Amino acid sequence: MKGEILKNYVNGKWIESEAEKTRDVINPANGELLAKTPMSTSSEVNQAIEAAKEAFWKWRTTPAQTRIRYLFDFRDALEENFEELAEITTLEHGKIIDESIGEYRRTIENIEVATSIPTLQMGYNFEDVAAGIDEMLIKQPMGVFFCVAPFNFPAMVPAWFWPYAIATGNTYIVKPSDQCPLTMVKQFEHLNEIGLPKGVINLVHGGAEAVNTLIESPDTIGMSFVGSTKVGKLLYKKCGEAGKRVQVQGGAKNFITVMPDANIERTVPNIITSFLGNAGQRCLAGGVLLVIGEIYEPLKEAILESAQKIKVGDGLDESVQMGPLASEAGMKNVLRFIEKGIDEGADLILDGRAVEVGDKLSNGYFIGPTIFDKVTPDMSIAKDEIFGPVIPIIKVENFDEAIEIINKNPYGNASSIFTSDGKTAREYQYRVNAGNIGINIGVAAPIATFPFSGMKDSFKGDLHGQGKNAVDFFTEEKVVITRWF
Amino acid sequence: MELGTLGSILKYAQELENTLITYSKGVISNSKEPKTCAIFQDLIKKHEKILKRLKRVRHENTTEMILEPIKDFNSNNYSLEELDQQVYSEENILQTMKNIETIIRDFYLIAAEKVSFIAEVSSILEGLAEKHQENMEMF
Repeated sequence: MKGEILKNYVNGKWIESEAEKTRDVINPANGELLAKTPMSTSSEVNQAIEAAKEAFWKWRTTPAQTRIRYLFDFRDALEENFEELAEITTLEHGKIIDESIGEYRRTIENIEVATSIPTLQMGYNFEDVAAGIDEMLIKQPMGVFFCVAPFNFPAMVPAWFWPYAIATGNTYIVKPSDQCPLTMVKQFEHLNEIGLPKGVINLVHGGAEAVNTLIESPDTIGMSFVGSTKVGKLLYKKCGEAGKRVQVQGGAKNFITVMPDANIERTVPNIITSFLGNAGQRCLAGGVLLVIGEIYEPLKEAILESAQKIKVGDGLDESVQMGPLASEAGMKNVLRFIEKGIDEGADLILDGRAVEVGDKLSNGYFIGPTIFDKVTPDMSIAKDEIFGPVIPIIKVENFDEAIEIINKNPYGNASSIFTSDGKTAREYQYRVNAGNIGINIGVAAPIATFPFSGMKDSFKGDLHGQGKNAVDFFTEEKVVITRWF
Repeated sequence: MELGTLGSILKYAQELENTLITYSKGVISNSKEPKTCAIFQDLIKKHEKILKRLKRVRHENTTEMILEPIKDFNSNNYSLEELDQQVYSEENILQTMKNIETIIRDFYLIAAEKVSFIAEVSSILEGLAEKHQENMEMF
C-alpha cells in the first residue's frame, strides 16, 4: 500500500482516480509515507452522485427489514476484523491502539442503533380527525446525502451518519478525511464484500473541489460535516444558499470545572483522559480546567504527577499511553499555542516540547503532556481551540465566575463539572450553554442512541448526528389525510 | 514490560493463554497416552475459548479510555519463558502445568486488582483466575 494512490468506490466498483493532485497520507509516529489521497475532480464526484441517484428508487422501495440486514452483516465484518481495522486507524492517525479499539466500539454501536430503523422510522396515525377522515404521518427517505469527515475519528464519525441514511432508504456518498483516508478505505473493502446494491454507498476522496461539487449538485439533498468551525460556517452558508439540509459539528473549547468538594482521586484520571486522550485531538477534549477554591493546589499537583508519568510514543506499542499529533501542521499549531501561552504570561509547569520518544520516532509529530498554571480567561490558550495535549489551569473564585467564563466563550460543545453535590451539579447542567454536559465525567460522549449535541459555534443546523436526530435528518415527514367514499 | 494500560494487560493475558495452548499441543504430539491426550485436548478447547473472550473483553470495554497509569505491574514477574516447556516426560508435564497454571492464576488475580476501576473486566479476570486454580488442582 505504501505510496499507492487510493481509489474511489463508485457504483459498487473501485475506480482509479483521474486526479492530478494528491495529498500524502503520513504515519505521524515516524513521518513515513503510507499512501496518497487523490483530490478527485468535479467530474468524478458527479459520477458518484449519479450512481447514488440511480440507486435511490430501488433502494428506497426495498423493505426496511432487508435494508438493515446489510448493516448486521457489516457489523459482523467489523467485529471479525476488529484488530486489523483498529491498527490501520492507529497507523494513519497516531492514536494509541486502545483508542482505536474504543473508536471502533463506538462505530459498531452506531451501526447497531441504525438496525433499529424499522422502529425508529415509524410514523403515527389517528382515526376520525373529522367524520370518516383519518390522518397519518410517514417518514420518507429523500435521496442522496453525503458527509465530509474529519481526521480525528476517521472510523466513528462517518458512522454517525451513513448507517442511518441508508437504513432509512437513502443513498450515500462518504468523503473521508484526506489526511486519514485509509480507515474508511478499509471499511469500504468490507462493505464491498457484503454486497449492497451498486450505488447505495459510495466513497470519493478529495478536497475543496469534491466538497463544493457535492454541495452545488442539484441531485444531493444534504450534508453532514465535522471539522473546524471556520470551514463549517463557510459550508453551512453554502449549503443554505444551495437549499441543502445541513448539520455542521464544529470546533470546541470545553471547560472542566472542579469544585472544592470534588473527589480528587476519582477526578484526576478523568481529567487526564479528557485533556490528553487522542493527544487532545477531540472535539470533546478538555480545553480549560477551572478550579475553584482550596482544592486548587492539591489538584494541580496530582494532575502534574499523573501527566508526568504518561508514556508517549508509537500508538501501536501496547505500553504507550499517548500517541503523536496526527499531522505536522497540527503539531506546529500546538507548538504555536505553547509559545503564546508563555508570551502571554502563563506559567509552563510541564513542557511537552521536551518529550523523549527515541531515535526511531524522531520524525514523528510528538508533543508530550503540557500544563500551564496561572492562566487567565483572556489568554489565547484559555479561549481558542488548541487541539493538542495542553492543560491550561485557571483558578476561579466561585461557581458563578466559572459559569460566566464558560458562557462567554463562543464555543458550546461540551462542559464537565466534578463535584459531590447534587444541587451544584444540577445548577451547572441548567446554566451552562454547552451541548454535551458531564457530571463527574471527563469526556461527555453521548452513546449512539443519543444525539451528539453541540451549541453556539460548535454546531450549526437543527439536527445532530446519531440516534433519533439522525433518523429525522435523513427523512422527510409526510402527512396523509384519507377519506374513502 | 511495564503493563501500564488495560490493553497491554489483556494482550499479555492472551500471550500467557497462547503459551499454555502451545505447550498443551506439544504434550499431545509427544504423548502415547490416550487419556493424557484427551485431557489436553479439552484444555486446549477451554483456553481457546478464553482467548476469544479476552479479545472480546478488550474490544467491548475500551470505550472509556483510561490514561491514568496502572502502576507496578510488570510482565517479567509473570513470565513463562524460563519454564521447561520442551520436556514431555509425565513428571515434567505435571510440574510444568502446575507452574504454568500458578503463574497465570497469579497474573489474573493481580490484574483484576489493577483494573478494579472497570468492574466488569475485573470480575472477568477474577473468574479466569478461578479457572486456572481449578486446572492447577486437577494437575
